[in-house]
Amino acid sequence: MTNSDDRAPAGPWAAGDPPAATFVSVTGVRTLPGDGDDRRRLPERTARYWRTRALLVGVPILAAAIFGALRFHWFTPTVSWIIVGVLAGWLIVVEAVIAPPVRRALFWYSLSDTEIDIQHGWLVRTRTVVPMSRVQHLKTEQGVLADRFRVANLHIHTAAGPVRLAGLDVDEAADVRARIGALAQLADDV
Amino acid sequence: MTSDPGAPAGVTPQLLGPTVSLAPSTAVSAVNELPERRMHPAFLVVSAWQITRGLIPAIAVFIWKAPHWTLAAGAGLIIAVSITEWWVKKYSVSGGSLRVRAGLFSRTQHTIGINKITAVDAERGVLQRLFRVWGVKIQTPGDGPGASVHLRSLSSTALEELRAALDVRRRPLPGEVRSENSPAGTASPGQLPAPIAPSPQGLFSSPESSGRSEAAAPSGEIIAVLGTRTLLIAALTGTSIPLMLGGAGAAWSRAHDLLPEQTIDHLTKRVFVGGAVTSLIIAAALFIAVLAAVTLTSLRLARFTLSRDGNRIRVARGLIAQRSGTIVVDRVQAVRIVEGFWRRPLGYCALEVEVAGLAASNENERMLFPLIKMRAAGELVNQVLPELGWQPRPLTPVPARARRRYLTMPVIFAVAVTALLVLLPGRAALLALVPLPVGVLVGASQARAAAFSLDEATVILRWRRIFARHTLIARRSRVQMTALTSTVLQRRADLAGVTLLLSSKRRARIRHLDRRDARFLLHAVGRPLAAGCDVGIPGSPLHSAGQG
Repeated sequence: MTNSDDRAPAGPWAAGDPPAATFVSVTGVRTLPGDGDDRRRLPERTARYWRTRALLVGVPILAAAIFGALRFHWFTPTVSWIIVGVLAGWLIVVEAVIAPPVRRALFWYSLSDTEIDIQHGWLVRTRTVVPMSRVQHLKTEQGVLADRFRVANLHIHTAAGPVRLAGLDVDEAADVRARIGALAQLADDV
Repeated sequence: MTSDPGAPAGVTPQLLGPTVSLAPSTAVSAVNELPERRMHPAFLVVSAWQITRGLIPAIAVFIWKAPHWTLAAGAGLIIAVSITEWWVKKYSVSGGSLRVRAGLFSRTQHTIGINKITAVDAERGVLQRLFRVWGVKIQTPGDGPGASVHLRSLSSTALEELRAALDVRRRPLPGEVRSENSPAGTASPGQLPAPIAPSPQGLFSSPESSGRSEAAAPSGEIIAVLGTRTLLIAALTGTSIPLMLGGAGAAWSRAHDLLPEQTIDHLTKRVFVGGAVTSLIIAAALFIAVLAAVTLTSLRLARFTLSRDGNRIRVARGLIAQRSGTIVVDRVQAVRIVEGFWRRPLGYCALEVEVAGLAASNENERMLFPLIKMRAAGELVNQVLPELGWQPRPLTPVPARARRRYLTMPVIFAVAVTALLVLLPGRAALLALVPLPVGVLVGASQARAAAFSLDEATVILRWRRIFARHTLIARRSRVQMTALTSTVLQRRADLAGVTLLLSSKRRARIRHLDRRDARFLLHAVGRPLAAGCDVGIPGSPLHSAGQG
């Protein structure tokens, strides 16, 4: 398992780790911003924010499910409690306990003058590269809960759809927003 | 069927109807301005009909039960809506933008920068043809279909003037920087500001390319015309027949609810008694479906003509309802080759363009050519879109260890379906034998189809959905976003998936390929290359992070 975090070797691409296929006639491939050490991560409280949010959603649903299992007899008791167990496992154990720290640990983003490089996702890890010139507009979104934790979600919109930088520190989100806004010249070639 | 094989010469005059008269002098004096105006009064009829058409299902249900005065009131309402809309809807071109004002109570003003317009589509149905007007759709790379403007009724003259006003602005405005990869060679003819001249060819030589329309020769170079034989094949291998049979099946199952019980009784006991009669009825239904498919496809695609005119691609089609679309070459992000399930064995494919704002949901609008032999596709694409720089060559397949993984998802899905089918009563449970082989076949063919290629100008991805095989040939530097995806299992096997997202809001995806290749694509697609490359930015540093 070589180079599992998808960093390119420093310097021109072809010097280090050539692609497996023999098709390559492209030279001069540059490194991406996330290839270096300039990977920025989320603050610790983002995980707590995600956890709180998951609990706020999960606990009422679970409570309703338990109530339903006790009160209504739509299924046999075994089936009812299996459903409750699955819900508890997914909403509480996975979404609230396991996922937030893992998601935070795997997430990073990196900006250069020409690209936005983001890794997100958890079960399916996705690294997305958005050329700066493709950015159409930016949107920050911050709910009541996010406000309490001083985090914000930044949506980067391109003509192909949005990319989310979720759970950024509020001030950092403002910074990133200003920086991308300044760098993204609206190119007329969509 | 009815298509004229010798079309190129014959198409143009027939399509155009009346000769277009001189443009009013206002347009000549101020080419790039169009004073505010209403649409052609035929709008009243066209709009009333289109609203009525949209209500046909509701009318069909209510006409039996509703009292007559409600119908009259409904008709009055439709007429009132049409008149109001015609009265308040005005369009103009000024200050580099197309402005459309509409709305009586909540007034809206739609302003579209001319530089953002990706396509101008003109179409006309029977009614519009009768009144000699065109419906015009203005496409922009906005968020969804709501972003485009639809003017339902413009006279040919008004259409020409609108197109002229929108086109002349295509030349770079002072201070505007043209994108670095716009092909310089194609920019000149269509972009020269020129006065509007009377145009004997009407729409085909419409002032989109006003610089050339004075010429007596047809302005656009006709590149391909759909022949009758190909049209028939397109009808038979297209989606119409399965859709129609599916619709007939659905109608039959709904018939139980709608038809009187006696009729159903009669049908099930006397007509569908099994054996010869039933097979005959099914054969007849099939025949009718085929006939209807051929007719509908002919109406839609007959006289399909693809032409190139300066920096525009023009597509015209349709037997009774006519449509003509214009696509700006520089806006084309990619060409997609779709080899349908029945078409692939016959060696045929359809060509589509990926353009921002052309409805991702509407197959007709993005169609470049409906059916062509696969081996001729490369030549056609290079003829109509040399700017794409596509050099057809063998693609690199995914490695052997990736192929096994293509089986995973179809097989899991098939197992789930099998588990459900096993529960069916009696002999129907034998259906459970079907999903697994189908799943394996689908997975195997998906693995076989998955391939890619990259050179300086283009990135090519080929993949298979369930039935059709898609090949996307995208301008390497125009891809909007690139993503590399991987699960734990993929990382263990040193594999990854690659997704390209285009501004048409459609995507191309190879689910499993060698991780190094995926990484390379991530680094090389959608970005300018470093110094020393023909597409790169001269003097750009290797690692630009943190530098001015």
